[in-house]
Amino acid sequence: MNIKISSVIFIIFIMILFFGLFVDTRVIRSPLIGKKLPNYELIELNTGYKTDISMLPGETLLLNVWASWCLECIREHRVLMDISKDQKISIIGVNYKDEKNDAIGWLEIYGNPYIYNIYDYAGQLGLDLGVYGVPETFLVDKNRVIRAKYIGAITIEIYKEEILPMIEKINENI
Amino acid sequence: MKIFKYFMNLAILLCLVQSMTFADIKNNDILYNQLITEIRCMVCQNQNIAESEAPLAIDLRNKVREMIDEGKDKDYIKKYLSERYSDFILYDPPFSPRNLILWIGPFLFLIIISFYFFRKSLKR
Amino acid sequence: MISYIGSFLILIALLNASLLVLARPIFSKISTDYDSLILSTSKLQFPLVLIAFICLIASFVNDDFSLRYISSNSNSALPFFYKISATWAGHEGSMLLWCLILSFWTFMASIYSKSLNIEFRTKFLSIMGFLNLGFLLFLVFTSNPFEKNISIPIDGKDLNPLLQDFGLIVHPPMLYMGYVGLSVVFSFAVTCLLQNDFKREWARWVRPWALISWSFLTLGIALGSWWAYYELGWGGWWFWDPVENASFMPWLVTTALIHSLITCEQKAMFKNWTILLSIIAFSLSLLGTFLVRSGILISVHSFANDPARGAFILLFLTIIVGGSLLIYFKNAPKIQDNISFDFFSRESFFLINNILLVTATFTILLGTIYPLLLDLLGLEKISVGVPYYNAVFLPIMTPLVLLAGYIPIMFSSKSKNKKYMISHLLLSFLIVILFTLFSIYFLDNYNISILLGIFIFIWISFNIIYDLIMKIYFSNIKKISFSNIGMMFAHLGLAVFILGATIVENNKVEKEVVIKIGDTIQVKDYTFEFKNISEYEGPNYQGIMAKFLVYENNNLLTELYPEKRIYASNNMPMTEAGIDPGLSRDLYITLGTLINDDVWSVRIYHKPLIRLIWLGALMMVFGGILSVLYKRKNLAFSR
Repeated sequence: MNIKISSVIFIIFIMILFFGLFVDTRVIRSPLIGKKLPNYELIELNTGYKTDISMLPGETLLLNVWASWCLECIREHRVLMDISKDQKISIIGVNYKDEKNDAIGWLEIYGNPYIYNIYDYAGQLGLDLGVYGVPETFLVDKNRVIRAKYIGAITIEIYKEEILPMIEKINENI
Repeated sequence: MKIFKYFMNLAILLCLVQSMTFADIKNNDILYNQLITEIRCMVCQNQNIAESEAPLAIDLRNKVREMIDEGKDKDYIKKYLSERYSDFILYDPPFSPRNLILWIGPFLFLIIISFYFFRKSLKR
Repeated sequence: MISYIGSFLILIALLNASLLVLARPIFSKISTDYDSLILSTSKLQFPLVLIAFICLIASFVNDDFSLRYISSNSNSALPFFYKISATWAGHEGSMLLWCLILSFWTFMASIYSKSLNIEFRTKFLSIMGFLNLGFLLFLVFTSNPFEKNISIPIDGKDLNPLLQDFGLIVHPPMLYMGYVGLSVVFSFAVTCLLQNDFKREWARWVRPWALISWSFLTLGIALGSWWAYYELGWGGWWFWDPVENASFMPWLVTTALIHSLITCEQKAMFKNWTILLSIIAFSLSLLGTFLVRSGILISVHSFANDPARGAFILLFLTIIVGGSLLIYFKNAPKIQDNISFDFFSRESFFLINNILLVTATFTILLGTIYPLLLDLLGLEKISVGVPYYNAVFLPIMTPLVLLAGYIPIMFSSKSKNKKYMISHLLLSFLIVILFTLFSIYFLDNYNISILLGIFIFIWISFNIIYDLIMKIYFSNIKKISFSNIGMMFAHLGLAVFILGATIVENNKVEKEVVIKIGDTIQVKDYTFEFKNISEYEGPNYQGIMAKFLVYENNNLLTELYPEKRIYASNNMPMTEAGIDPGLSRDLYITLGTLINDDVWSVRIYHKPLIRLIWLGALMMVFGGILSVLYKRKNLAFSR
């Protein structure tokens, strides 16, 4: 075998392993990015009114999947309250696989940053959104196309450094 | 010539074995048991949804059962899941340009090293 | 106090290993008697590390929570035997076990290498010393088990409940014996390269080491598979998990190696190839260490993620593998290696065996690394699992096991008449086909893969037994060597394994049911009655135990007790399966979740012939050991 070819293969192999050390294996890119938000026919958490995709406000918004049983969501909630006070983007909640009373009580305790909440008791919307680790947040533009997905709790850094520039970019292009 | 024939036979054999591992399974229970071992539990450390008792795994098992009862076939269910959770959820990587090396690499490797060794060492 | 002795001994061992490495390049200039220094340091390494290891065990037994490794892997309530086995349950301790076994093999290599000439022997032991040094440095700088806690906790965090089991006590040491045993073969191969030669008697010397490593690897992998089967609660025996793959790759290459060594020894062919295989086998065992301990792959077996450790092993791996490959490419052309044979010859089939095994290894390597590669290139991530390996790995292995059934006996007969061989081949082929078709009578379900599996089983075992009978009755009985019987056992083990794996994968019955206390459920010929459920207090966990009565044709067969345990340490529910083992089938129950009051979800499995998988592996191990015993005796004569 040729020594040059072998050395190149060997070095490439070592490089793969080396750079592999610094890859976060937990982040999985959602195939839904760039696709239209899936439709749903569910009820609103507080009012019990029917709600579907056509009732979403016609603007760029955050769709935040949360549940009262999710500990990470409590941490995230403060950030969501700040975002809602910032008034640059509106947040729609998706209450995922939760008991209605628990969810409403939770919002009373921690505050309500959401315009309204889609109540997904059966978890079908969550499944359609490919949710696997609550909380998850989707950035949806006014054409209802998913532009970005954030797995895990949103932090103020993510909001300022990723979400805000992304909103500006989306608004420029339209 | 002899070597050529041998590899022809080998290729035929390989195709045969390949086709039978892909043989269709019709029975619902068998399909269910097979499918849940081929779907990854996204929140676990490399476990399929048959092994895991994580809530997500239980949900997905129920969904698979539901779809099978509705008469959906294997390809439909796999596509349904990968559209939502990405190909990462399938333990069976699709045969696409992206995965070309993965699927044909081993056979290419086999041909190359067989050729290399036998050309070098056979008596003429 | 004891832990200080351990710490100290590790440092002495480090010093000793440095002496062993430096003896040749430095002391050869000062004194001529560096040989005895090499011989004594290579023997001293083992007792040093052994006592350090015993110190760590003693610290575990004494609940010395001032050590960080102990406080995070043990607990005062942990049962005594698990306190001992916890010594090698975490990263740091298992690394110390690795070093211990490496020093043990160095010791053995030092004792049993008297037949080699002194220059070869000292070079060889120096390389072993270099490996010892590398791993000890890794241990001391990134994963010292004797590291102190800043503040001493009152009690430890407890051992991972999955690992509180007999399987864990035996699985890692056996596996490491195999992994690390390959270091002897590796060091030997590199020494051959440095000497620019690979003599036939050297091949004879190294083969038992390859065989014994192979036997330990086989045993280690089989134990791991058995443990996963009863402990993970899913009834699977092989998962194609990256970490299992990491142990399977060196196994495949070592299998290739023990075959190519035969050709090396008998025909003095494939010298370079054999050397390369030796290097690859140990490199893959290093790669396995890297994959498991760097957290680079997502796996159930991974130790805690730490890039610093990963980087260190990778550096070591690059030096060892890169260095040895460089020497290989520089020196291999100098080794005289006239490879030339007919296509229809024993050598040719050994080559095919090697090509297929190496291709199989490549397949697994590709399947393990490919997802990582895509991830690095920023492409969508994929998972590679069972369906991929069934589709790619099995077709590569099929011709191999078919050949394993005939080639060994084809060339064992003295007759080299081609016509006779072909007619004999056809005849036995026909007989085996008939047997296979006859077996359908015993099966309630069959398809082409079952038939192929049964065919391979009968094909291998029929030919071996036929060959044995022919040898005993029609020729001189003294011709059957231990080595030959070892080979027969190993190949029979392969056949038994294939039968078990094929039948269990194709004919298993798996039922996931919701069942109320007092109800029964039918699985195959067995009726399972859910009798009751009770709670109890374990030493360090809360247990919920279900009682199932199993009837076979209305006769009580056995009682099974599947459990759920909640360990105080991590609050995670663990399942303990209830298993009724049997050679013909296993009955396997796991307790799922409580649905309401008296209703539980339960999984019941009927696994036909699953025991043959591990029985086959044990036969392979036995075969390997038989061959080693013979080789040792033979070596004594040649001295």
